[in-house]
Amino acid sequence: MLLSALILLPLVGALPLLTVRDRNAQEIKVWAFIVAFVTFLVSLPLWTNYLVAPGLPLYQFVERYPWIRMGGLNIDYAVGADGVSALLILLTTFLTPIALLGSWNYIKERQKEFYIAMLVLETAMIGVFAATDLFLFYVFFEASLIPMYLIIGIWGGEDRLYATTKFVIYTVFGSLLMFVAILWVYFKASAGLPEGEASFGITQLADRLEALRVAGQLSRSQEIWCFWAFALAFSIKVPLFPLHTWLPDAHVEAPTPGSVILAGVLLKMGGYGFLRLIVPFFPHASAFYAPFFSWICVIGIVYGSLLAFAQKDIKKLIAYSSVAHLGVCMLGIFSYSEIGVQGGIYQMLNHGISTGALFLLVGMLYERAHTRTIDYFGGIAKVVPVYTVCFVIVTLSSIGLPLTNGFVGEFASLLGAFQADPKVHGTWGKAYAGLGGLGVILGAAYMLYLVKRVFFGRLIRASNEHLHDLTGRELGLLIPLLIMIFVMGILPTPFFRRMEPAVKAFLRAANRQAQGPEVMAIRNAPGTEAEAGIAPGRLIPVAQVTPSITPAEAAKSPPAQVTVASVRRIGAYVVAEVRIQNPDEKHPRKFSALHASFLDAEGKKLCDAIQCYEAQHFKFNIEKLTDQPHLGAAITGPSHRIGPGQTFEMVAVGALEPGAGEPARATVNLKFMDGTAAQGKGP
Amino acid sequence: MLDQLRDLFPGWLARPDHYHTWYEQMLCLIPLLPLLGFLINAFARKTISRGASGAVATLAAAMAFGVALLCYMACAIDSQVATVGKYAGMVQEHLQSRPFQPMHAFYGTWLDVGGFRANFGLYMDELSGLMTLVVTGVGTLIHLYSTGYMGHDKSYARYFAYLNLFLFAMLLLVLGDNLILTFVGWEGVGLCSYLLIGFWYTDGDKAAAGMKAFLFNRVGDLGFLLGIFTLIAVFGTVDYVAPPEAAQASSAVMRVPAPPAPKGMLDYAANIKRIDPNGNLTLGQVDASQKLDLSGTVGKAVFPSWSFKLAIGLACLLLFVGAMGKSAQLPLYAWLPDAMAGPTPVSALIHAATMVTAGVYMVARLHALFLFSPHVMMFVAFVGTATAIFAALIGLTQTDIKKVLAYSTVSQLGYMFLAAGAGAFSLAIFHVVTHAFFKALLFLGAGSVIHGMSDEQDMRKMGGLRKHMPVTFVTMLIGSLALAGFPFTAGWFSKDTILAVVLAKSHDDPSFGSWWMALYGLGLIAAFCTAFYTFRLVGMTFFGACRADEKTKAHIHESPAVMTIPLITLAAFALLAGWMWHAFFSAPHFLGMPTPLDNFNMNPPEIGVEATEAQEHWHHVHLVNLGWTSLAALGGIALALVVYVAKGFVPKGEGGNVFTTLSRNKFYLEAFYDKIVSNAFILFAELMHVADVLLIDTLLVRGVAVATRWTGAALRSLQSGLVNFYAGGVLVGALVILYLLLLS
Repeated sequence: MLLSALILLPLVGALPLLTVRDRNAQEIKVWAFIVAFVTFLVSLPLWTNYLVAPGLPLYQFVERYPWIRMGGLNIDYAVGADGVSALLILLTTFLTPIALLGSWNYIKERQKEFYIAMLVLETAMIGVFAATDLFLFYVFFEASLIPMYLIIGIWGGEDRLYATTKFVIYTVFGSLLMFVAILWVYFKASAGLPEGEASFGITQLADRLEALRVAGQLSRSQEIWCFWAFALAFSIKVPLFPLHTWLPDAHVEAPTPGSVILAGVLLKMGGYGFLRLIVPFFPHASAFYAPFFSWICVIGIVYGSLLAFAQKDIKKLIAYSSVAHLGVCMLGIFSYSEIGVQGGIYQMLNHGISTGALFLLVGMLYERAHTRTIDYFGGIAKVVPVYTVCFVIVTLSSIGLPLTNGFVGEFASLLGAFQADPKVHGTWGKAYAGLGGLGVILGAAYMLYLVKRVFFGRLIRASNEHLHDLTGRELGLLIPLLIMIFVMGILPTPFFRRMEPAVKAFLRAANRQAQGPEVMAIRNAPGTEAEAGIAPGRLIPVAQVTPSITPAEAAKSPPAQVTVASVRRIGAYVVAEVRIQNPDEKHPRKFSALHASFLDAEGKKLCDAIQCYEAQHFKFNIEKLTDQPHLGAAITGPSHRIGPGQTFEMVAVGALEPGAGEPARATVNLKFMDGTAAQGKGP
Repeated sequence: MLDQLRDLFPGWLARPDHYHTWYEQMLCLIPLLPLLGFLINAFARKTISRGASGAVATLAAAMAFGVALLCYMACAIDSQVATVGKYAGMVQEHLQSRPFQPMHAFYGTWLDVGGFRANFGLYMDELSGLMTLVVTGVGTLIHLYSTGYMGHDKSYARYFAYLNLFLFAMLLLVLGDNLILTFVGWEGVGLCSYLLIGFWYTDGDKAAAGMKAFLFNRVGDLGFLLGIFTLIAVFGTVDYVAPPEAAQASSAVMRVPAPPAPKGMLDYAANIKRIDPNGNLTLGQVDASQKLDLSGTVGKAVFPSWSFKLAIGLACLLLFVGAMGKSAQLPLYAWLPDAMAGPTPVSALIHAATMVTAGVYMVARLHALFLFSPHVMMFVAFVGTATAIFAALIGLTQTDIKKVLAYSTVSQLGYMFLAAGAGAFSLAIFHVVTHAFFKALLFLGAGSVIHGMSDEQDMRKMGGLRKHMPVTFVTMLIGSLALAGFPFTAGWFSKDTILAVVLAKSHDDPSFGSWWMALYGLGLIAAFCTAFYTFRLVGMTFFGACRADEKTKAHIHESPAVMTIPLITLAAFALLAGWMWHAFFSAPHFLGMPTPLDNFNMNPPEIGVEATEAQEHWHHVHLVNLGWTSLAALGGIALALVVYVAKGFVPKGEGGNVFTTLSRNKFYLEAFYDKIVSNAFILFAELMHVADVLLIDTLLVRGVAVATRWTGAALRSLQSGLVNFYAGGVLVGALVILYLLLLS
C-alpha cells in the first residue's frame, strides 16, 4: 500500500486547496508544504524497508489491481519498486518540499493554483517511477507534462509561453511516437496468448518479446523501429544532444521551483526510460545502437560544457551544464558495465541534488537582484558570505570534487565507460572515457569561471552592496541538500547496494543480446538453410569453417554417433541433451549445421530447436532458467569441432507454443563439413 | 540500528577478533586532527577569539606531527622488538633487510560498486611515514609562523581553516592506502590551493590566479583519472598493498560468495629486482609462489591485444600527466608562478614544501610500476630536465622576490623528476625532503622580508636589509647556500647525488646513454643558474644600499619571535638534513624502493669481485661529478656576488639583450596560455553557442515548426468552401482512378 499511498497523498492533499480562497496565501503555502513533507516522511520506508538479500524479489512494495479490461486490452494498476525506482521516488519526495519552500516568496500570483499544480506534479512523478504496468507508466509520464506546462506557462518569466509550448510540443512529439510503439508491442506480444494472459506488465512484456525474438517472430527491423520510437521519446526527455534546445528555454523561463523539479526529477525520466523500458524490451537494437548513443553522450558532455561556458545568464549556464551532466549519466548507462550503470544512476541522483540546489541558489539571487546576468554581479562574496559558501560547496559537488557526491557518480560512470562491455562497444570504451573526461576539465572551467565572475573581485555595482544574505528559511532548505552532498560523497555504498539487484537484472536483460547479434547473423547467413535442408529461421547453422578432413577420408572413417540423452521441459522452453561421438581416432570432425525437433509422446512434432549450446556452458545456466524465464547471458555460439575419439555434449533448446503438449522425445540431424551426416533420436 | 551502522562502517564493527595495536588505530588521527581544526575554525570562527583560532589550528598541526612521530617510531621500534622475539639468532640480518614494519589500518569501505572496491584505509611505510613527518613538521612551523604573519588580517580564522583543511587533504594523499584515496587528497589539496591563492578574493587577479591553478591541475587530474582507470583495468584493484585482514574479513561478511583474497597493485609488481634497458624484468626471487602472478588481473578483457607492459606504460604515462599538473612541470607549470598571489606562508607550505611535491611522491609510491616502462621513465627524466633548465633560466631575471623562489621551485621539482626518471626514486624523495626544508625556509624568509618592508615584493626596492633583519638574513643565507648546492648543506647532498646518478647512467645505460649525458649537461647548467639567481636574490635583498622609499625605510623591522623561531628551526634542518644522505643512498632498500645502486647492477645481492669493481666505478663517477657540481655551485655563487654585491648592479626590468628579454618574459609561454589559449577557448565556446542557436535551435527545431505551419497553410487553401472546387477535385480524382484501372 505504500506506493499507492505515496501516489495519492499529494493528490488528495491538493484537494482541500480547491476550497480555500486565494488570499489565504500563508495557509496555502503551509498546507502544501505539510502535504509534501508528510509525503516525504511516508516515503522513508522505501529506504529502510527495501531489502537486498539473496532470494528476495527485485520488485518490492508490489500492488496490482485490474484497471481496464476491454477490446483485448488488459491494463492493470500495477506498482512496485526496485532499488532504482525507490531511490528516484525518494529523490522526488525529498526535492518537492524543498522546492515548495524555495517558492515561498517567488510565487506571488495565483498561489493556490501553483501549489495544486506542484502537488499534482509530485503525484505524477512518483507514479512514473512506481508504475510497473507500461500503460500506467505512460499515463503518468504524460500526466506530468500538464502541471509542468502550467507552471512554466503561468508563473514563468517573460518568454514563458514560447518556452512552455516548445517544451510540451517537443516532449509530446516524442511520446506520441512511443505510444504507437507501446500499442504495437502490446498487440504483438499478446497475439496468440489465451484470453487474460496478455498484459501490459513491463517485465512480462520484456520476457514475451524475448520469447518472440527467440522464436523468430520478431524481426530485427521491427525491433529497430520500435526501439527508435521509444528512444526518441526518452532522448528528448533526457535530453541528449542534439535534442536539447528545449531545455535552456524551459529552465530560464520556469520559476525556481519549476526548474528544480524539472532538472531534479523530470529529466531523470529519460534515463529511467532507457533503463527500465528500452534496453529490456529491445536488447538487440539497444546493443547495436549503444555505441552511437555513447558518442552522442560524449558530444553532449563536451558541447554542453562549451555552451555553458559561453552563457551570460547564470540559469542558462546551469541549464547547459545539465546537458553535460546528463551526458555523463547516460554514458555510464550505455556502457553496459555494472559499475557504469550504477554510476550513471548515482549521477542522476547527484544531478537532482546539486543542480536542484544550484537552481534554488540562483532563484534566491534573482529574488534579491531581479536579474541573473552574470556581468551584473561581481565581488558579492563580501556582501553575502553565507550564500557564497553554499554556492561554492554546491559548485564543488557539481564539478565532482572527491568526498562530494559528484565525484562518486562521475568516477563510476567514467570508469564504467572505460570498461564498456567489449561485446557491445568493441574497444571504444577508452575513447568515451578519455573524451567524456574532458567534461571534468570543462566543468571546472565554466563553474569556477562563473564563481569568479559573480563572487570574487571588487564589488562592481554599488547597488549590490545592499543584497542581504540568506534568511533562516533559505538556509534551512539548503542545508538538507548540502548534507546530502557530503553524505552521498562519503557513504555511497548503501545507495549502490540498493540499486545493485536492479542493475544486475538490467544487465541480464541487456545481455540477452550476447546471443543476439551472433545468432541473428548466423540465422541469416546465406546458403546455410539449403545446406541443411531445413526451413529457414528454424535452423542452427554454425559459422562457416573449412572441413578438417576431406570428404574422401570422411567416407572411409566411421560415422559419428548421435544420441539424445534426455528431454526436459523448463517453463516455456524445452531442452534436449545431445551427445555426439566422433569414433574416428585420428581425425577431428566439424559439424556445420544442426537441426533438432521436439516431439510429444505420440510422435507429433511440437517445435524445432532454436538455440544450441555447449552443455558445459548450459549447465551453468540451467538453474537460472528455472527462475528466469529467459535465457542467461553467459552462453555464446556453439562449438563445432569434435576431437578424435571424443564426445561432444550439447544442449538444444526449443520454445514451446502456448498450449503445446508435453515434449517427450527429440530428433537430431547433423551435417558435417566433410559432407557426411548423422542422425539421432531419443531418449 | 547496529546493523545499519555495520552496514556503513564494516571495518569498525565487524572484527572484534582481530588484534590491532592501538597505534595502528591512531593513524587516522593524523589526518583527522587537522580536519577537526578545520571544522572548529569553519563553524566557530565567529565565537572564538583570533588567538584561539590560530592556537587551535597550530595545535592541530602540532598534534598531528606528534602522532605521526609516535606512529613512525612505533613502526621502527616494533619491527625490532618483533624481530628479536621471532628470530633471535638472525637479528642483525633481519634488521638490515627490513628495518621498518609498515602499519596498515582499515576504517571501512568507501566505494563498493560493480566488483570494484576502494577502502578508507591508511598505510604508513617508510615512504609515506617520512612524507607525513615532513608535511606535519614543516606544516606546524608554518602554522606557527602564520600566527605572526597573518596577525593583521581580517579573515584570520578563515585562513587557518583553509590551512588545516589543506593538511587534512595532504595527509590523506600521503597516507591513503589506495590510489583513489590518494586522488581524493590530490584533488583536496588542489581545492585548498585554489582557496588559498584566491584568499584575498576581492582582488580579481588573485581570484583568477586561484582559478588558473585549479584548471591547470584539472588537466593533469584527467590524466591521473585515466591512469587510475587503466590500472583498474589491469589489476582490478587500486590498493597499493593487500588490504589488512580486517578488510578482508569484512568483505566476506558483505558479499556472498566472498571474492578471492585481494592483492594490491604493488604486490604484483613488488618483486621486480631490476629492469634492463630492453625492458626485460629480473625478479627478485625465483620462487614459484613469488613470481609475478597476474592471473588475478583483468587486463586481458579491457586491453585484448595489449601486453601487460604496454598497458602499465600507458597507465604510468597518464599518471605522470597528473604529476605534471600538480608538480608544475612543463608544459603545465604556468600556474605555479601565479600561485604566489596567495599569502607567503601558503607559498612556503603548499607551493614549495608539500603539495607541489605530491607528483614526485606519487611516482615514488608507484615506482614498481614505473620500472616496467623504461621509455616512460626516460620521458619523466626529459620533462624533469627540461623544466629544471627552463625555470632556472627564467629565474635569472625575475625581480619579484617570490617569483624568483617560485621559478626556483619549478626548477627543483624538475630535478626530482630527473632523479625519478633515472630510477633513483629514493633520491627524488631525498630531494623532496631537503627541498621542503630549505625552500620553506626561503619562502618564510622572503615573507619576513616582505612583512618588514610593508608588503613590498620587488627586490629592486630592497637592499641592505642584513643590518635591519639579522636573523632573517642569516637564516636565508643558510637556505640560499642549501638551494645553491654549497658543499655540505642539505641541497648539496641531494642535488649532487642526483646528478651523479645521471652521470653514472650515461656510462651504464646502453640504449639511452648519450641522452643521459645531455641531461647531465643541462642539469649542470641549471645548477649553475640556480646558484646564480639564488645569490642574486641574496645580494639584491640584503646587501648594498637600501633602495626603499623613506616611509618604508622607517618601518623596516625584524620579525617577531613566532616568525623567527620557524626560520631558525628550518635553517638548522637545511644545514644538517643532508647528513641523512647515507640512509637514503646506501642502506639497501630504504623507503622500500630499490636504491640507485640496485638499478645499476652495482649492488648485487651477493657481493663478490665484480660488485667491488662496480662500486669502485661508482665512486669514480661520483668524484668526477663532485668536481663539476661544486664548480657549478661555487661559480654561480661567485659570479652573483661579483655582479650584485661587489658591483651593486640593479636590473632595470626592461631592455637588455635577446636572452634577458626572453627570460624576463618567461619565453612567452605564459603569455601564450593567458592570451591565446584562453581567448581561443572563449571564442570557440561563443562560436559553438551561436551555432547552437542558429543551426540546431533555429534551423532544425524551429524549422520543423515553421515547416508544419507552412504545410498547414498550404493545405488550408484546399478547404476553400467552394462547391465547384470540390466537384472539380472529385472529377479529377475519378479520372485518375479510371486511368489507373485501365492501365492495369
